[in-house]
Amino acid sequence: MADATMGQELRPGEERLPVGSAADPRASGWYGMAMLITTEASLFAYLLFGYFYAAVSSQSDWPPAGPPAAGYALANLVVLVASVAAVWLAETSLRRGEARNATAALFGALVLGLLFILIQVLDWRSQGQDITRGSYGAYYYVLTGVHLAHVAVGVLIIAALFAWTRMRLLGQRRPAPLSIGALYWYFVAAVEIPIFATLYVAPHLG
Amino acid sequence: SRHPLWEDRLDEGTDRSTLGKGMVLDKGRETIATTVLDGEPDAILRMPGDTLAPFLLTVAMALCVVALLLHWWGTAAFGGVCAAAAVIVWLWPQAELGQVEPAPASEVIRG
Repeated sequence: MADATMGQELRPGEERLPVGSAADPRASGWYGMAMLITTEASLFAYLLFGYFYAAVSSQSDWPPAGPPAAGYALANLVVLVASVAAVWLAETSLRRGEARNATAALFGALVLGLLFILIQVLDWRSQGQDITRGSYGAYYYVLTGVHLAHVAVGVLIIAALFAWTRMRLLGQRRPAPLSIGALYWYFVAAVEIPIFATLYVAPHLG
Repeated sequence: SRHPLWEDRLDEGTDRSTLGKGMVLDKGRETIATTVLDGEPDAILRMPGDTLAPFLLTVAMALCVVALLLHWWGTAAFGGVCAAAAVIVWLWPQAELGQVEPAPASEVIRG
């Protein structure tokens, strides 16, 4: 592999550096994604704080029409957990050099991500909330909508990673893009837990 | 700079900058990638060439956002799709930049 020290003698302890993206998954982009996740997590924290502030400040029942039905949301939670397992499987398979397994796992994660979007739309249609009337409807749609937007971006990322892995552009020696994309997907899935607990569990707690 | 003027004023040791050792990085547009915490050289990065992808991305994002403001949902969706495409094209792994998984040795021999 070409590197900048070709033709020069290496001194004791020196190593030739690889050319191109670092094989270490903890590349600079990984830390960059971690910083992005920190800011996006702050966004969700603000939204959840606002929801609970509105709930405490509300002069009427909260939620106004009682706790929302959790069937679709629970199914979506299961779908996201399964997709996390698929992405994790893809990441570990790629690091072991099993590109075919990684490709299959990414395809599974892609399907599950699209399924999440479909179920979320069905959930919206079944709830009958109105974003323009009252703060509860607004918070419900903003919380779930912002999360859905993050999921949509995550689906695009997984689609790109699937294509690149399928084309053998990523592999055991170039796993950083998959690790970085996987980190984002883990965040998206993790955020679903407090959102689900806030919207569908907390109303039952009084 | 090659020889910082402040270097001799620092009483941090006897080491001084030199052009006589270290990486030359003369094989095109190259730069050093370092580890995040310690700043140790980690890899040689080849810088990409000129591309329209960033400009097209900004145009698509502007179209998407303006369309959202005007409630032109179809146009906003189109802008969003174009923006996504521009990002994917921009981030596409390039073999000449060392961003692509090397072919296995067996394939190289057969080729």
